[in-house]
Amino acid sequence: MKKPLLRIVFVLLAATVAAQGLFMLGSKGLQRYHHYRSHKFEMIFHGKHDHDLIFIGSSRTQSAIDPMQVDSICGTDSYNLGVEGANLAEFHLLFKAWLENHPNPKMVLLTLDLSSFDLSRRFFNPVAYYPYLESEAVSAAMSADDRRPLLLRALPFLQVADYDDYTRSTCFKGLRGETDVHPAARVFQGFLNSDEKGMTGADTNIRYTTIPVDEEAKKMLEEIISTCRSRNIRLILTYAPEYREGWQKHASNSAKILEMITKLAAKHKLPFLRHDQLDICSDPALFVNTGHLNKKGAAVYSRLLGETLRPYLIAPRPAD
Amino acid sequence: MLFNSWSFLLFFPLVTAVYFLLPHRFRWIHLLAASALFYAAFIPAYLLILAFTIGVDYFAGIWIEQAQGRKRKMFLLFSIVANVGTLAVFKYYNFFIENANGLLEWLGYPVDWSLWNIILPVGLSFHTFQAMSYTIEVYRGKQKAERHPGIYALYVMFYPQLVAGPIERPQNLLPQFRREHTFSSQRLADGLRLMLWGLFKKVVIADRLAVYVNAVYADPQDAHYLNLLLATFFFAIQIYCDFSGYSDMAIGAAKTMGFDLMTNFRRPYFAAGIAEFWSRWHISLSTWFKDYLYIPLGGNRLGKARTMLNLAIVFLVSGFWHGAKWTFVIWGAVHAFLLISASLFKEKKQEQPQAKQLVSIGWTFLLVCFAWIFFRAGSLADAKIILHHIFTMHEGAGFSAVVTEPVGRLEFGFTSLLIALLAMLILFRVELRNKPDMELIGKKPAADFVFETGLLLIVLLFGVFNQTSFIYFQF
Repeated sequence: MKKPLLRIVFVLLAATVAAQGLFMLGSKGLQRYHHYRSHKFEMIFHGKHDHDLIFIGSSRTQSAIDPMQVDSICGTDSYNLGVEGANLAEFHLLFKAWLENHPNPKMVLLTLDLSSFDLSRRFFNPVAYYPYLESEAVSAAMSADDRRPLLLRALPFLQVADYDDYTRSTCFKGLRGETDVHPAARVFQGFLNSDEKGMTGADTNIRYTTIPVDEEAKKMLEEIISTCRSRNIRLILTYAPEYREGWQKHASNSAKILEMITKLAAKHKLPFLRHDQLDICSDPALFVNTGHLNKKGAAVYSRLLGETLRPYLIAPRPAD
Repeated sequence: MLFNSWSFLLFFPLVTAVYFLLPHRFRWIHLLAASALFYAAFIPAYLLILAFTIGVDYFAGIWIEQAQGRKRKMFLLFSIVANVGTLAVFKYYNFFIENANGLLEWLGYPVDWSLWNIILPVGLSFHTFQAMSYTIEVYRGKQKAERHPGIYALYVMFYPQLVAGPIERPQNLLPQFRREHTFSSQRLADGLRLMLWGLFKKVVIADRLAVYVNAVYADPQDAHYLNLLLATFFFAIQIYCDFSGYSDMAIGAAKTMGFDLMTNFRRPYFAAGIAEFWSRWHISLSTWFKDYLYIPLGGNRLGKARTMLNLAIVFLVSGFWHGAKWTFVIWGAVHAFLLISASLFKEKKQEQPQAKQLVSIGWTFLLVCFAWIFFRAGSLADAKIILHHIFTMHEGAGFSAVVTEPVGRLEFGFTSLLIALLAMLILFRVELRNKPDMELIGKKPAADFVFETGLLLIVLLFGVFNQTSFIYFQF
């Protein structure tokens, strides 16, 4: 009578212990493989630095804005919070998490993409946030995405259930010492440059589509705006450089989305800088693909951005 | 509610524990409420359809038993019409309308009868067939009509097998609801092991292979013939692991509470002939068709030609049972053709040498895979393209055993391929060595412990938990 029950208990215990051990080993591999991202997330979720300028956005921010270039012009100490594939749900989370740990920055540059308002996939890579479930911002965002943060904190090995096979393979790669950052890549204050090569031919990765706009994403943007206002942080909205408006041409509703952002910015008296209209946007040598600047492009754009931001940093914030 | 969901992880232990804590007289209420909750997790409104068929068949059973002569037949007919009618309305309405529109247009009388925008109630074909088996058995006098409406409702709604079988017979299941089951730790262990094995098949193998299969079958036009062959092979494994995985979990979940459900799969891909395949694949449906269609049609008692006709009817109906699409009908027709051909060239049963046996197993598997093409293809046009590409060795966009472009949010890279192949090896070895219900003899407790722990670990670390529905839910 007792034996089968005992066996069930022992099987559960042994599997749990083994799973937890292997999970910890795999997590180490994962962190090593994505050491650039791990370092950035450590900075966001556990750092206490007093940066006066932060850049929030997707990979188009991550690989386009070099804080060193901007700081050399503006005399600031800035940090790039760009995260690959991020939309407004992630911008909202990152900003909240930053404010949980760091002093208020003087200014936030929020780069919006056409897909920023599409919350059909709330997290591009939710697993990246799992080591920081103790953060209130992460926990709330995960709950909103039905991801059971309490259970994942209590039984961390269950996080593996959300791994895909690519993530599993990166665990092994990381343990073998491989990393996703090329040795020659420039990594600085959250910035990671793209390839050096320029664009050749048409970008085949683009799909013709209508991009969804979620009301919840709009609310998140409004919340970011009101947080900035209440904390006396200057907020500037931008649209990142894009080769000959390439992405916009492939979305049937791009004009509507950009008009919506323009109206929202006007309503809140915020600058909305259309950097897709810059001259550099017609030079294929500065882009790695339609939506992303390459190493050279990032350097050029970061200097231009520094020049653009300097007056805003000096001028007093307009009255609401 | 899906067996591979977080909610089931909470639901199952809770329902099982409360079941044993309650006095026997209240257990049916608990199981009925749990089953309703389980079904309502899909679309609550569809409980009304279930209630309708339960109501009709409950009274039909009693009326059939009480009536004499032709009235009995009338009540049986009433039950069958109600059940088949429910299926016709919810499952086949759009199919008939679409085909009627097409046919009338072709005849020069174009009409535009509109389609019904409705989601098929989950597992409709399963529980209507189970309900029909009850009234037929009462009519045949092999089953007493159930007077307790709650127990009868539970017969149709028993949650482990409500949405994808096994399709039970009243003689097996109904008496089990009246029997008082005492807690048995051995049954609990056996049931949990079977559930774990089913979960392994579903989340480690089926849902992983599905990514490759879906990618290739979604766009067969420019696919390399080897991609199509590999995807078809993967689909054969996927559908087996998906469906038999569900059956294992259903049988296992029932077992933990003391219920014995019928075996639904007996290593079908080790069959050495099509007839043998059908005695091993979806046994509860095959025997349903044998008992309630093939034999009433005359079976093999009315000569060779009639036997062939009967087989053809059974398999065409079986194909149509699977789905309201011509691809399923063709799938049934292919199996009917294979079975009839096999019966024509049947040799006298004798011991085959092992090599010949292996060739027969391989050949049967190939034939079954060929038929799966129709089952999986999105349309008849797609099936035609796939067959054309395979038989003309079309090289299309080049061969790749992986899919690096994500399908949904998943991709099938080399890691996926490696995990899938290793998991299939485990499947092959375990299935070959164990009984279908995975009952270990218990002579090697250490080996059992290692096996169960390893299996749980593999499920935890390598399962694809994107909560994909089971293929047979759509039927």
